[in-house]
Amino acid sequence: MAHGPTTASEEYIEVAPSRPGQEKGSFTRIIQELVFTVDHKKLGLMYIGSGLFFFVIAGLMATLIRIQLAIPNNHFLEPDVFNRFFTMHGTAMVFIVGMPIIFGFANYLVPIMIGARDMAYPRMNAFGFWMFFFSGFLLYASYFAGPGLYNAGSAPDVGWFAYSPLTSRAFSRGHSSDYWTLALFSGGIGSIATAINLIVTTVSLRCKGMTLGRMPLFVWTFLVVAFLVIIAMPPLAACQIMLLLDRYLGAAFFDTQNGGSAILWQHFFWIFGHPEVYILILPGFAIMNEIVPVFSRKPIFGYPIMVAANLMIAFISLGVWAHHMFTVGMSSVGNAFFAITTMLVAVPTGIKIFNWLGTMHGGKIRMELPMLFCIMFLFQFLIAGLTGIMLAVAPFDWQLSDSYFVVAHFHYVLIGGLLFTIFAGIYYWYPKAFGRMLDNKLGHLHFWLFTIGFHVTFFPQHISGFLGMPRRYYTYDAGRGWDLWNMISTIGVIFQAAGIFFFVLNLIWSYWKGRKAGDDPWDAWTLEWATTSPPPDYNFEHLPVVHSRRPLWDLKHPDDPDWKYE
Amino acid sequence: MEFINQPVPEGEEAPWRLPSTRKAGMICLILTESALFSIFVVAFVFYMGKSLNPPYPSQIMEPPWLASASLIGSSFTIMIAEWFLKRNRTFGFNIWWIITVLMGAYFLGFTAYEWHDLIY
Repeated sequence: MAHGPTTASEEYIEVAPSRPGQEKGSFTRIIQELVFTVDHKKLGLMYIGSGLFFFVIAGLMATLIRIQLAIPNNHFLEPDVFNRFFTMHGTAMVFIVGMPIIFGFANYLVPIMIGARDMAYPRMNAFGFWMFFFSGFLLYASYFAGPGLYNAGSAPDVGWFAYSPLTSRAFSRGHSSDYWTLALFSGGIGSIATAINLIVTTVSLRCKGMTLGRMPLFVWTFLVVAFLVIIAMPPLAACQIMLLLDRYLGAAFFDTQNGGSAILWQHFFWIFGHPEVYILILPGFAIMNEIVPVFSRKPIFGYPIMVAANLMIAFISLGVWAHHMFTVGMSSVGNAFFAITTMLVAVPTGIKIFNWLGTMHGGKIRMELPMLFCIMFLFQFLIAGLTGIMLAVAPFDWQLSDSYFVVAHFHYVLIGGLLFTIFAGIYYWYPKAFGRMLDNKLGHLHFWLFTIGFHVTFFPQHISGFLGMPRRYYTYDAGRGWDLWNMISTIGVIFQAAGIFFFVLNLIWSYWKGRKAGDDPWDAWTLEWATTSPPPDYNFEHLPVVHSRRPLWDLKHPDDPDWKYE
Repeated sequence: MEFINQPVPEGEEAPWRLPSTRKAGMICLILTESALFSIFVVAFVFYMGKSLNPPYPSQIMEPPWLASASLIGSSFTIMIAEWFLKRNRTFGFNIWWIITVLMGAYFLGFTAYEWHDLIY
């Protein structure tokens, strides 16, 4: 952590003689800075950058999957390649795209928003990042190293939840499943380290006056997310260890031939897996909580209720896991319990949606890009939530489990929900991180192409699901009523890919050519806008002191500060 | 922007205290560990008495009373050692510290012996 003023450190850098390859701005110097850094802002950007890199790879895999499914009886891909693609697409999107991007946002913003100079444990922060980065490459290394000594298998092909007995050595030869196991295991260690860091930072490093009741909702939500991570990730690590014991030391936890239970794997996996869904979607809510008020020019509606809703969602989410397992034949009591808890989650989630609407109601709404993405989120996440409630009804789920209806449902959650808010967050905080605005025209192209493409791709999947198309099928016969919907679905991908192209172009172009942003381009109220863009290494020259939930409002309006009303 | 010299609500001059990072970090770590081991314990309980064929656990394993006692006991001896350390009494600290190390070593050694015994 650098505490000194900028000028002194810059002088030092200029005076110190540069060794070859160490000149300021040289490629090797930049790489060295990235590798050695413990700065939460650099690590945050590295998280988001590498997450986006893996996003493009996993997105290309999805594109190839869609091409394969565009027409009946297609043989564009080999069947085993197809299996690897959907496994790698799912695993990558959850573990090395979603997780690092949300941790990137948290890393960058939480310390600044609470007026701290860095995370509580900066080096552990770097450790967390490098564990994730390593796990990403470990996962993809399976393509080259998966065959192992047996010369069998390639990348993992067992689906992203790797149900037993597919992962037993009899059915998963070679080392592909081991790569899956170890990649998730090491990535999990990184996630846990980062989550602990986030909790401790939030609990122990808030600036003077930042009581829990004045913390930005973004920070509150990430506090809840971090708790979910430390409760839900260790069970995943535990069942990965048991799987390795099964595969190599003759244990039989999940081996039904030897008295094990395949269902136990499902329970253990989803005890992690369902909280994981909330770990991914709550950060979307966190971003909404910041952007919607700023672009409605009103404080958030129902702050305490929003905090309570976060806590309720987190608590209930720990008791809903078996709604992924209605078709395994649980008792009717089990089915009823998990159906009810699942429907219960809709209550706090609905409260949130109403509060965002309440915030917008009567506000002076500015339709800037971040707000556009947030408004689309409201519509799309509503659809996702409603299909979720439909699937929570056990008899309904018996009909549609493992069909394209489920695929459509969770893509509406993770793309329509999470990814749209990630885009909103990037448009909102890019000016802070790089000092330049993202281009508006390219941004609008991205927004419209991606929104249209998203709905064209995923809405028809609800229908093909209703018509009985199972997920993960390699191909299908003509004349089952699925042809049209699959074709439409594939056409949508073209729009999505074009949208992503303009998004990436925008990120690169605006870095050099974007309009200068200034410190506070959106006229916002949280502490990150009180410092320069980009912020200095030490974040604030003087640590701020806050007296309300909107410290910058108080500064800009000393005659009418917020603390008079809170 | 400057946060000094802004109008301040009354009664905000109370000293600002937050929990120590060490305590908060340790509590989180313990939570993590508990979550990890709860899954192992659930698996253990789930499979209790369900072995399909012999040898059954009760035939080949005995409860490791002494090793367990030394593992749990070492938590107390390290606390005593810490108590001495905080009062700068190095001799007492060294004694209790060494006792802790020995108890830990005994536990590890016994575990290694148990595994060896189980496998061969």
